[in-house]
Amino acid sequence: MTTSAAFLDPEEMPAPERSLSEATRRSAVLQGQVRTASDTVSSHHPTSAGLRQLLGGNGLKRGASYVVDGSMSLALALSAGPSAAGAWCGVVGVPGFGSQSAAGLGIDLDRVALVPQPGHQWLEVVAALVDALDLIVVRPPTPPKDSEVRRFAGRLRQRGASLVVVGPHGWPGCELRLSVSGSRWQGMGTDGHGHLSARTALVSATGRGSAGHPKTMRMWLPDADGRVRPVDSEAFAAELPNGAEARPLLRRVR
Amino acid sequence: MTTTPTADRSSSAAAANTGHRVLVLWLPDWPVRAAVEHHLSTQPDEHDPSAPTAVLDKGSVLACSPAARDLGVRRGMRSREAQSLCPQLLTLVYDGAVDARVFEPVLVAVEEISPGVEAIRPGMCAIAVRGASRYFGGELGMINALRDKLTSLGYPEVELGVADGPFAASQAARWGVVVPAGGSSAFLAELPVEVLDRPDLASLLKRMGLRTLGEFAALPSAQVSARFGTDGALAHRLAGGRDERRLSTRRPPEDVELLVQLDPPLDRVDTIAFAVRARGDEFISRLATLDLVATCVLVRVTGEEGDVVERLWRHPRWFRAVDVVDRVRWQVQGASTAGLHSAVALVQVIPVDVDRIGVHAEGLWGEQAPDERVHRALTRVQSMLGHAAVVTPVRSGGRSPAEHTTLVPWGDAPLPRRDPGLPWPGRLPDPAPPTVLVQPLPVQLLDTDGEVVTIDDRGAMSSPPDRIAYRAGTTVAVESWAGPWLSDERWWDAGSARQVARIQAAVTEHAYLLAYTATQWWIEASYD
Repeated sequence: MTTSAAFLDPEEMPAPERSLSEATRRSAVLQGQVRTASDTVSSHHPTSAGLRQLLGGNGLKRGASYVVDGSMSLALALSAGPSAAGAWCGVVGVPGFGSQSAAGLGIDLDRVALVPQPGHQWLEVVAALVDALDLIVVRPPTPPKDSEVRRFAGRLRQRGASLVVVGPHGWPGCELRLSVSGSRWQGMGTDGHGHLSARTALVSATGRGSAGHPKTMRMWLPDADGRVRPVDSEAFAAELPNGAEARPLLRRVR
Repeated sequence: MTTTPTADRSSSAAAANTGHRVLVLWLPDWPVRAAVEHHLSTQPDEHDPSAPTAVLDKGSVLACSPAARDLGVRRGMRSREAQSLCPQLLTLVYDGAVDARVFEPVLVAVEEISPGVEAIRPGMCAIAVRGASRYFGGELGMINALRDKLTSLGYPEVELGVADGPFAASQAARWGVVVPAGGSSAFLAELPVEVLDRPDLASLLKRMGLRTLGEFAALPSAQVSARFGTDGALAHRLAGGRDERRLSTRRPPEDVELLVQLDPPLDRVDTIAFAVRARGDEFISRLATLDLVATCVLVRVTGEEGDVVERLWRHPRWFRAVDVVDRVRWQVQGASTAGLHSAVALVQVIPVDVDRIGVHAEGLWGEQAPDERVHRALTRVQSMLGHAAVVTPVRSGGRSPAEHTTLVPWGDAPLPRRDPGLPWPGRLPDPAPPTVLVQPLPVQLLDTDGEVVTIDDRGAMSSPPDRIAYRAGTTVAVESWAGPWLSDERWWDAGSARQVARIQAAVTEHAYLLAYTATQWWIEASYD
């Protein structure tokens, strides 16, 4: 085309080219609108303040999957933020869902749907839920296949939901893998006094979303008020006089 | 033409009450009528209808015929006393089932005149006046039509009344009057407080010097609510003629059902759905002409070999045409696994629960009616796995972590099995375990000598626990523990009674909730 430089003014363009450029312009405008529409939806689900540091300053990324290894409490705590913000949570394949604990960690039970026994159709169930629910906690009963997960991940991204995977099977291509170890339980003695009141554990984050995060931190899971938050190391030390961590300051007298 | 302010006000009140006019049909002395009819059906020609008759419940008179009343027999009288007043008194034993059964043909007859009838109790039913009265040319026309119908059935003694709201209308029926729209509070004001049918409240009000509904209604509602509670506040609203309750209609009219015959039989989901879609709108609009919406439908799919798959589908709001088509599609999709072997020949959609349009505007869940999308997704999963596969947790009362929740299938009314508001002694302090084992794991809790730790009735442990022994033979050391918490669960019921002692125990990396009952330890839950 030799004419393109000469016809910079659209009014002077021959008709077919003008309509073409008009279409391009329109589609650019539309794309702009699309982008602004998706930008108004925040790219992250809110989380409670105590978990933000662990997740790198933000909440749960929409369309991402998180693996939580070894702690249902942490998986429930991750769901508490979106739930408190009005999101619906689905829990798939967790027949022993402790709803009292979930409520204590801040999940609104009015917006929880459980599918305790999804059977071999579990991924279809999760896919159906992803269409409408913002957060799904799933314990895959069988190891997920890479190909299925890849197809599913597209749907998850498109719908903007987040997935929290618990259980032994893991999840290919997850954003962050949170493993919990070194649990220490507080409030109980060696003589039957007190009651389990709090727990601290080491949570380590690995995976592609972990760049720039503290890799491992000690967290309350939960603390005596039922919150999940990082252990402030100085305050933590102060609460443990003489290293007798299991001994409460006040003891029940009967 | 000039209108006085009073006339203005009453006409606006009438406008506000449009659609809330209720007709109540009352058959006086119904227990007697029902018992006599039942008696005649078993022992014919042994009864003279004019003879004094009384129905007895637990040895006292529950209801009596006019002839018996003329001789001084009253409700609540001991049977011996009644018989001394009237030796020839025929006494029949009260049977609630007979009462309701004999009333059934009356309800059916009333439904022929106007659909959407609420049975208040045997012998009394309420009908929304709105549409039907237009058809019969006004409320009086409707009353005459009903009176003719019931007289032809052999109930000439029927009493009919119309007023705003079911309560005022039931009082109007006792007097056989039509209370003009907006006039209910004036009509009720003169009635004694006993008509509220709350004996305790009535007795209290009388001792306070309040003898009529008008005097009670004049009290400020906030104070009534503070002094008499929710039920008192409701009674107060009734007394003031502010009865907002809508009739809950008994059941849908029977001829409204969607029936799609597929000839030739179809086996593809999309073609079946297409055939149903054409008729779905018609089904919903037929309900709508009756001022009804369906909240629960039965979808019955019949195969060409006569095999039937049917399922109830509830909707948290009400069914629209697309919802009906969706339910049919999901059911046909699930039907191949649920036992339908042949191509589909017949699809029926039968409304099971219906309600007035407008009542369900806020949905079963009140203000927080679930997002339509959430509902569709969850119902979709139900169609894959079955109705009970998707549940919502409802807080419930109880001591063990498993009892804390009642799981309610999606779409059913969320009712807790046990009252969560009551104190549950023996409940463990927070935090609660996040994983509750569906099947508790049998283990043994051993002391330092390897003996099983036991707990007696008073909660004394034989020795402190040292380690947990699994069935497989491995043991883990108990690092710290707390408890026991004792609970006598269901001691009043020998069948399910059990005494349970629970302890919390931490081992390396884990903490468990252990329960001890009848020499066996179980891991009930895990604090993971």
